[in-house]
Amino acid sequence: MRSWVAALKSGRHSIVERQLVMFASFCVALVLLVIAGVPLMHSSGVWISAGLLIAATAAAAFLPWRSLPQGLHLIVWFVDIIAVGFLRDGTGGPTSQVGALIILPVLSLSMERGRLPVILGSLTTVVIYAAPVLLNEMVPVTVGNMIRAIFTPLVLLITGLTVNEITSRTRARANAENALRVAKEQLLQQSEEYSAKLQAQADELRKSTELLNSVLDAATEQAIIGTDLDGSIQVFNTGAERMVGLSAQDLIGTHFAPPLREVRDESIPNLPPAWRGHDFASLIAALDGDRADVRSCVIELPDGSELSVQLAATTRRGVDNVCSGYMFVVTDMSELHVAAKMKDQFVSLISHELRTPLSSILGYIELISDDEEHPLSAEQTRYLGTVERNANRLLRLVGELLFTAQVEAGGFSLDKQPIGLAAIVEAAVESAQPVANSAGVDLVADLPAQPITMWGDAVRLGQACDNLVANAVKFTKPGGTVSISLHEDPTNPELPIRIDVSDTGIGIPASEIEKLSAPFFRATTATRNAVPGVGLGLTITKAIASAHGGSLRVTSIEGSGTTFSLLLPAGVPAAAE
Amino acid sequence: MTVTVSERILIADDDPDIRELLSVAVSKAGHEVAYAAVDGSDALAAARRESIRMAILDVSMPNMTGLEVCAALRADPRTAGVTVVLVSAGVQDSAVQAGLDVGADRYLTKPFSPRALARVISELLDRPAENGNLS
Repeated sequence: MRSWVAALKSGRHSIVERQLVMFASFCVALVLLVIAGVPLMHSSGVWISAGLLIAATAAAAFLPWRSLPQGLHLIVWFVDIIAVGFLRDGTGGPTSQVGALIILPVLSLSMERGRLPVILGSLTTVVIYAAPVLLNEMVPVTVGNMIRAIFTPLVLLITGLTVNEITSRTRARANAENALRVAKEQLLQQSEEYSAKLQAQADELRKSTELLNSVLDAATEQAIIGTDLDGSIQVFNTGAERMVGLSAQDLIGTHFAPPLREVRDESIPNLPPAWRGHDFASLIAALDGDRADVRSCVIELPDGSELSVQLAATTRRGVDNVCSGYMFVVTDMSELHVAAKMKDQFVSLISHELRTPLSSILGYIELISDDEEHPLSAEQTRYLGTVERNANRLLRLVGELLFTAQVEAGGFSLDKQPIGLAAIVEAAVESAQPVANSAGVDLVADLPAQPITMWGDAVRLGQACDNLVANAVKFTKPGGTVSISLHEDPTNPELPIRIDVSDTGIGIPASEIEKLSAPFFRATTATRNAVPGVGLGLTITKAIASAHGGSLRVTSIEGSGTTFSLLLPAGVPAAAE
Repeated sequence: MTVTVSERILIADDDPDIRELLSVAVSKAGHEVAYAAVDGSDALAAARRESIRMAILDVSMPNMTGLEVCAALRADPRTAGVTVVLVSAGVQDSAVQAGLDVGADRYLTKPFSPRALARVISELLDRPAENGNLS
């Protein structure tokens, strides 16, 4: 059973609980009266009091007080006071031994909110104490009885007011405690929610970090090293540990300054120059915005060995897009170098094995042709010419294959010097003239009056021009024309030198123009018209143009003709003049 | 007026057909084949043994390459003045440069015309021996 205080704290005044105390006390009083054999002044008063008390107790127990108007339950305590009044009157009035029961309903009223209930209760007490004196003939009207009729309610009023005050304060304290408890519970709930959110964020962060680390560590073939702006290492992945042979634990927080040297491996001559500095500042000096700075270099490992690597440096940006550090991705290029060397060896081997027998064939053909002591018949000369032509064709094919292999291996270089392009174009025309004559194709050259010079490799550019002119003749039917022009194009300041080779040949389908420079690609018009070739000439020509910093353009109309334009840069470096 | 004097020339190639072509070219130029070596070490021994004015060496030979033979000839005071022509199937610029770097006077690529080789021989031998590298 909950205590009164608990009931007060909970804010719910249990009417039935207080009434049951009253009822029990009333019953005890009756039992004591019976046991003690106290004579009744008149029994009707006792019976009325008992009836009132039972009615009040039943009402307290069964009426739905929460749904009834507030304050209506006070009637229970007033009925109790009246019941005690009847009991007192029936058991001797001022001399009754059970009159003290009056204190219980007065205390109940005292515990109600406000002072009015206790004042009204005390006034009611005055009435029921004075009434027997004034109305009951059996009760003598004495000064003592009158004083008792006034003094007892006065004491009850003071007691009730005191209890009311204490109850009010207790209630206020209980309310404050309750408010505090609610606030505490709310804070606790908020704290738990924040804690849950924090935990979720921590989980998310952990997952994100694990994902990032797993991605970085999965790149076992690349060393990935992240630094702050000052070069202090913040990330050192598994690939880096494997490459360098040191653990991330030892290097995180240390300054990143790998010992680097420029590339010295001549098997890959087209690799760009490497960093020349060894300090961190030189690593990031060439960084330009978000573009990666990719270099090839040799790094010296802690064990003293050297490793050929490609080192890509990039800027690392934070969420606010401000540079927060740098990222270095180091790729081991040793195997690539080995593969390049093997390819180089293969090219050398094939070169030797194919060109040596061709040397014999062509050399002995020449000896037979030059043998003045045993001159050949016209038929033999014609047959030998066929052999020589095909041997030369085979030699050209071997040359193109080897050159293509060199281009793919990045192993072809240029012997640049100041050259006059008119002579190169003239030589190409002269070289193609015999074939053009026999094919019934007109060759027309348009050369400028003023010399056009550039910084280039005369042999390679001659090869490119030869390819373009020979191709044009090959794809033009008898009666057609091949025009070669050399001029400067002022509308293209970057590549002002232009060599156009135009034909009135079979043309190239528009859908195939993009594929023309792919090795071994042949246009459908070429295969349909059985034009001989293997599809390497344009690959080589484009590679030569690119190596000179130029480009190769194609415009073609199927059935009408094609124009190849070799666009080249002008000028000669000051140091070479 | 140039008077051609028959000089003794060493030729070296592991391919017998090419050796014969080289011999014809030497003969066409009006000179004499002192020895036809079948590999690099054979060529070096012959160069030290025979009194020769010129050595025409294939680059890719067993035992010693033409480049190694050329370097050895240049390193030996007795043979340092021999004119050396390297003949190779290697057409890469790096191969040509490697030949010239070891002191060869001329680098020819296969296939070569016997007629053209004869002209080269004449051109190199008709000049004073100490003219140095013409390439």
